[in-house]
Amino acid sequence: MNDSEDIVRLESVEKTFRDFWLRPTVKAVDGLSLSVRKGEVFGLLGPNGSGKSTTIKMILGLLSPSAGDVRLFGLPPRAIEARRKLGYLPELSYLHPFLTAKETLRYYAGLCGLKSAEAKERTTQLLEMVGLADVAGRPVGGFSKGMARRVSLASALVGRPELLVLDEPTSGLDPVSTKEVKTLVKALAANGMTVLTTSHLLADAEDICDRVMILDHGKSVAEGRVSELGTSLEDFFLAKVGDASEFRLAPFLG
Amino acid sequence: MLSEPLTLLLALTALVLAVFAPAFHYHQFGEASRMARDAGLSAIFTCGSALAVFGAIRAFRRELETGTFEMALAHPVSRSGFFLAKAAGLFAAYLVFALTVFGAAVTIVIGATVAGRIAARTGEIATVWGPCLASGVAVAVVPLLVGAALNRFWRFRFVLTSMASALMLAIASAATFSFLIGTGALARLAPAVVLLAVYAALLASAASAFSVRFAANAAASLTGLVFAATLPFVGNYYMAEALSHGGSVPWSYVGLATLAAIPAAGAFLLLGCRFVRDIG
Amino acid sequence: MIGFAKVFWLEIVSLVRSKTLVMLAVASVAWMFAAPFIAKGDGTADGAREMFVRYSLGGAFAILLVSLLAAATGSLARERAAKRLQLTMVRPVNHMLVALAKTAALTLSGASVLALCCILMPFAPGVGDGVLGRQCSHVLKPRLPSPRDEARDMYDAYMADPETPAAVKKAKKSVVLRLLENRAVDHYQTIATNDTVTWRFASAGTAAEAKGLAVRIRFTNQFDVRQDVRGELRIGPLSGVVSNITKAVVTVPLSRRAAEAGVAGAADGLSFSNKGSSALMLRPRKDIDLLVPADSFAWNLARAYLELVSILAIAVAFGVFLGASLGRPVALFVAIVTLVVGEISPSVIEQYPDELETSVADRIGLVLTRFAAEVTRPVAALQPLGRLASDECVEPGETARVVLLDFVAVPLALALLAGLVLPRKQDGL
Repeated sequence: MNDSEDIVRLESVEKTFRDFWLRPTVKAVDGLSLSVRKGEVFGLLGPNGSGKSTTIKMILGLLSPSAGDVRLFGLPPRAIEARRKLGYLPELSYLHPFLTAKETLRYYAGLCGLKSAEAKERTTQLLEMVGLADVAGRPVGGFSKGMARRVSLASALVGRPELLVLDEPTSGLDPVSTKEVKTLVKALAANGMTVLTTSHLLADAEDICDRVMILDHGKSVAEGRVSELGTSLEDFFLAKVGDASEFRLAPFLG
Repeated sequence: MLSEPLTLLLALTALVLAVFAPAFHYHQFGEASRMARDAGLSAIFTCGSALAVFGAIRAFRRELETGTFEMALAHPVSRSGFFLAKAAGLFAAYLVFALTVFGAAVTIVIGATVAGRIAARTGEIATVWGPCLASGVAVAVVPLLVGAALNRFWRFRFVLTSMASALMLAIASAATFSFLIGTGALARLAPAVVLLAVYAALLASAASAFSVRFAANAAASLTGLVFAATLPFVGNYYMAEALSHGGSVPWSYVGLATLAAIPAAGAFLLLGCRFVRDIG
Repeated sequence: MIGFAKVFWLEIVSLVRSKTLVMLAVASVAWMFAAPFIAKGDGTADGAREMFVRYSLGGAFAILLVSLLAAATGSLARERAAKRLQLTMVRPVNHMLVALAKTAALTLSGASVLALCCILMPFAPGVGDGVLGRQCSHVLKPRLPSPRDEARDMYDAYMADPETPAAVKKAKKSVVLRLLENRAVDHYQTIATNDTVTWRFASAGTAAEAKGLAVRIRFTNQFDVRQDVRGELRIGPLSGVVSNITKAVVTVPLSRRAAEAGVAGAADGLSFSNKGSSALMLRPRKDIDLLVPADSFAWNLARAYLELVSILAIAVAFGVFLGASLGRPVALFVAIVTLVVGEISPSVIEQYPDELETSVADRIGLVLTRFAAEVTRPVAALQPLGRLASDECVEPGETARVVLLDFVAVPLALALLAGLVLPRKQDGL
């Protein structure tokens, strides 16, 4: 595959957070290079604080890199044209509590530039898909965590994105819904959508990802196709990042 | 609450009002001392009331919205006890603010009194006495520099260290000038400031109770109603007028005014304890 | 513009469903009807009406201004704190349009509540029947050299005057000119007994043809005590008799019948003949107004409404910009302090003129205050309510300028700045 088919491309990207005096407080991403190709499901894995969310935010244009270059569809991430083809599901559901599920989807459809009739049709379709058609008229402020998560997922899909960025997509979902989300992601990928996802649940990532990158302390420690690992993703992950849990837990386990 | 930028901003505003309003010496007609007293008390009253109300609303609503309130309640603590402890903590933060501005106000009042005596002898216009003015300005400015330096070189928290420096400087300056020149200003201002603290406690208890049950805007509106309802009685707690012409506020009055406020503040705290039972 | 429409809609829905708009409307209207029981007039029907208009609509406007400023600072800052803003920012929407849409929605909400207040105002107790039909007047000022020109003309003589304080002689020319300019506004003119003076007015010739022309005038004397005034005012074929006391503002209607007995005055000038026993003084820039009949109170109210909405727009835009740049509590604090400084800075400057700049602290304070006054002048100088209450015409030309500047240009510029700041502020998260 050549560069032109890279939907996301990061080259030697660094992100250093600084305090008021401009002194570096933490280097969240350190010389990271990656590319996500058209039509693949790419998993960004790593322990807490490894720089996954910072990387995602730089790809989305929510943070600017301290060094290096980020390209989304070959454009700077803050370019409106790049954002036109983007869908984003954040780690938690940040919804407007006064809007109903239907209004939430219509709102984001409008922001994506969908015409009224198309937005209406797409909203109905997505609410059916995430199983919320019956409660479409209820304010999302009263929804359970799982229901809110489904609304967020539908909002991410409402603009018919070419790239779907999922931050912990199965967080807060019950096992049935988790399975449904995994099936949905596979189906979307099969239809040509590019998916970039982060997950703590390695089994989930193993199920849906074509390729994964493991981050630790802001650096890539491994990258490759899941099918070529030769071992389970969990074993591979622990081997790369190190299984410190037994040392940490030892005092408590007696 | 002491590490909130809003607390520092309100404290600085109050200090600037208390120190600089009397320092503008024109059109005072020989009443520099009275002006200093009024400026100090009004700064504590206005900025302090704002701090008591908005501090309480912000503290409770943020904890409720982020879930830390529920997390604390999940531990083996009494709900009412937790609510009352939090309200007491807010009041302690208010006291830090009030003590700081009180210290600066005492310094400036002493400065204005001394200047008045000098002016009576020399026939010049009375301005706030230089050393006291310098000390007052230092209380408003130096803490920022101290906070900035501690943050820059030792990574201390800027707001917290600035507040602590302001408090220490204000107390040191008030104590020094009271010791050198006389404790008159300290003794006369103290009951008036305690009265303001009682009124602030009343507002803070109302704001705390409402913010447990209602959203921030609604809690602010309801506390505004409490303020409007108590407006006719504010004069009983804001006693600047009583201090003019050599007057003073007896401590027995402070005790009575506190006793009068206790049922209302207690009712709001009980209401808060009732509301806190429904959380979760 | 689709993004604009959606964000605008969302803001309106939030304001309605959070009951903020209803609470604002109830508070404003309640104040409108409560104010007449609180504010006391001067005992006359006109005085009571003036007081009620000023305080009922003024109070409702103050409630709206402070509430909308608070809401504006929170509209972006709270969304950012709740992390909802990032979901809008990753969509293909111009960030400036997001800020502009929020400004527009909040302004529209304020404008709706204010419109309700304006519609209900004639029904407020004490405003009086038929208020909408009352006639208002254009207020014409005498044509005089500008205070700045007068200051320049006076400069050399003033500096050469041995009585000029040494400190002033050492001051910079710009400071002395500002001092003289302030004085020129209060420059007194003396009218000796049996003397006649004439002040020229722009378009006075046309005004003289108007029915219901009047002069509002205030005399004083060098002893600063109350004293009888007697004299006659003339403009073209019209005249009016002044019989009153000094230090009181008196409105003298001019009529053709009264002028028949005397000699006609100059067509473009208002003349006054002092028939009293002592010399009179007045400040031509402050103490004489030619009142030319204009349209009705209803039209005046409409123009005042547009100016008030423009003030709301600029305040909201400033609040939204602050909310884009700062956290909510700090943004609100800065907004309120700016509002207070804007309100008090003109009177501070008035009370501390240049002669009193005796210390470095004074100079620094005054430089800062003048800067604040200059920055906030476009809004602070607007007093449509005062003119509305005293039946003075809110001039259409000025209204158009205010709408263009405060309702359109400044909010657009602030939204542009907010749009630039928004993505950079995210870096701090």
